[in-house]
Amino acid sequence: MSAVTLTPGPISRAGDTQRHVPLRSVLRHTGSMVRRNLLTIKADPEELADVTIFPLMMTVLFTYVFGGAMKGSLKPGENYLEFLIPGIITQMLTFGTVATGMKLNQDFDKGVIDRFRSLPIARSAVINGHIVASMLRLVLAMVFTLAVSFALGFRIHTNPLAALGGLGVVLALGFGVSWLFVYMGAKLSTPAAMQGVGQMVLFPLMFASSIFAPTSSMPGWLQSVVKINPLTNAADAARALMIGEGGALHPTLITLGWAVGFAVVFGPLAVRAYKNRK
Amino acid sequence: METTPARPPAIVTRGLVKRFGDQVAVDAVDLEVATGSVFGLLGPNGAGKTTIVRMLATLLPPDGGSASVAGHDVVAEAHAVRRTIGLTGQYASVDEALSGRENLYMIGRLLDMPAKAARARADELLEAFGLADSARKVAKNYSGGMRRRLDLAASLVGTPAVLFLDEPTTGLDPQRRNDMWEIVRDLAARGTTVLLTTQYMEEAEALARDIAVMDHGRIIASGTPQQLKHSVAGRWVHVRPADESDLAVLVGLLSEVLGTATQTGDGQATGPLTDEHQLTALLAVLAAKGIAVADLTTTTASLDEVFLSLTGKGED
Repeated sequence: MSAVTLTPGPISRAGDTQRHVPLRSVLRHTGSMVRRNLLTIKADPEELADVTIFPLMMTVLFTYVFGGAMKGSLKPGENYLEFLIPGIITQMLTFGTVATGMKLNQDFDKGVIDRFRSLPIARSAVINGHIVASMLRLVLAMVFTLAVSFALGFRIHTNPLAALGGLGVVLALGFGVSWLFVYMGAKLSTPAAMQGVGQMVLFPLMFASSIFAPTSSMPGWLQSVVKINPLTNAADAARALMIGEGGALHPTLITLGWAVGFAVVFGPLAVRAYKNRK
Repeated sequence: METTPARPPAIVTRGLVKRFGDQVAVDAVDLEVATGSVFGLLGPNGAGKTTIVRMLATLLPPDGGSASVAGHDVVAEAHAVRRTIGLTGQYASVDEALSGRENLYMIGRLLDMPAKAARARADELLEAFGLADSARKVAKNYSGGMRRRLDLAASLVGTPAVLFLDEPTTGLDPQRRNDMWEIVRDLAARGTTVLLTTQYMEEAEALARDIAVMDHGRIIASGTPQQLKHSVAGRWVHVRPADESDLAVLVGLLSEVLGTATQTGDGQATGPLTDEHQLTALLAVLAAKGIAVADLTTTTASLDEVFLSLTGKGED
């Protein structure tokens, strides 16, 4: 104990009543939080399974189990794998963002948030760190899934720039939806509750979409729901931009609208829930 | 360590109130903690100790009254309070997925230390808390005692002027508890103000200069350990006769002077002292009766007894 500096430093200055953290500090604090989240993945790589192994499993299952049956619903000359991959990439954002909410919820559960909240950092740094790490995880998952799908025979029919744009549209929606689940992560009491509610929201959205099957193959009443589903629009936009199926502009705009909507509504709600949580 | 009276107190609360629904967790609490002192907040589970710490550490907004830490209001100047404090909670709140070193480095960076300084500070603290060998191990694999030390180290990264320790030794074995006590004494000797909560009177007595006893959200007694002992339970006199056959007579005499007396198992007469003149009177009576005394002692009730009589319950 003798050598270490434990003498209180001149941290508390008279008149130190600054309430807002300077932007540069916020960015640096967010950086620390992102680093923390990435180190968490390093310590526990299995947590990436939901955005890597699971989509891979879905790809293989759907391609080989339903691929044959789906042929009739597809346009002539189209193959199911090519139809499916942009959908799978869209589907990943759902699991990835629920996981982000889970991680925030676990931070509360384990008391880590108490430490962060007793530090002189912007309240938003913790949440921002989770959101940024969430995006990085999605990018990682996209790279992984694309590599595997290329091996399975998937090819881009547009151009690399358009394909990147397609991934960008999906990421944008992932960003928006992240706020919803971060809000839920701050609001719900336990990680188990978070998991339950998250899946309850996700499963219908995932299947009542154009992720796995073309909208045109569904009954009319369902189509009207499927068409406004943000996941449908993200998948359609990714499809248009990656394999050139359908128009890109309309689904892209709707997806971006949803992304902005989610962020604008749930961003402030998430920050408030985070601040007010006991 | 005496503090000069001119220094303003490190922590002040006035009529502090916190409610959870219908339940009043903290009921109009007034506290004053001298700068550079160790203050013990003592009470059974659910007395409101942790709630007070959480309000002082800006984690929980008060429902009434006011509180300040190092002169900063915990609500209006929460950010300034956070620059001043360190907090170690009842449950070690380190990031289990990170190594000990990464945990401390992260806190250093969040406190705006340059990367190099944060790394050096982390290593320094790991060394000081006997964690250097496990520095790169993930905290998930630490023992309970190691985790607790890492948690305390994390709250010391920024060398806080005011440190909150919420039940720092609950669940630690006696050896680890003593280590923790040494650390607290060391911090206090270097001028850190420490507010610690505990369920153990022994711990409060060992560490704190001032103690406040809490129960049901209220402060029910406060003062130095000595004052608490005197104010509540008084003192006892024990007399051993030179000749054992005098014991019965002795008990009778004590009873006459003190109002009540009993015979102890080891051949002494004992009774409570309620004022300072009783001892003189007792000696006079013994002299008059010509009883030879082998031994005469007075004792103060243990703080555990004080605690028991104040809260009406045991420690556990």
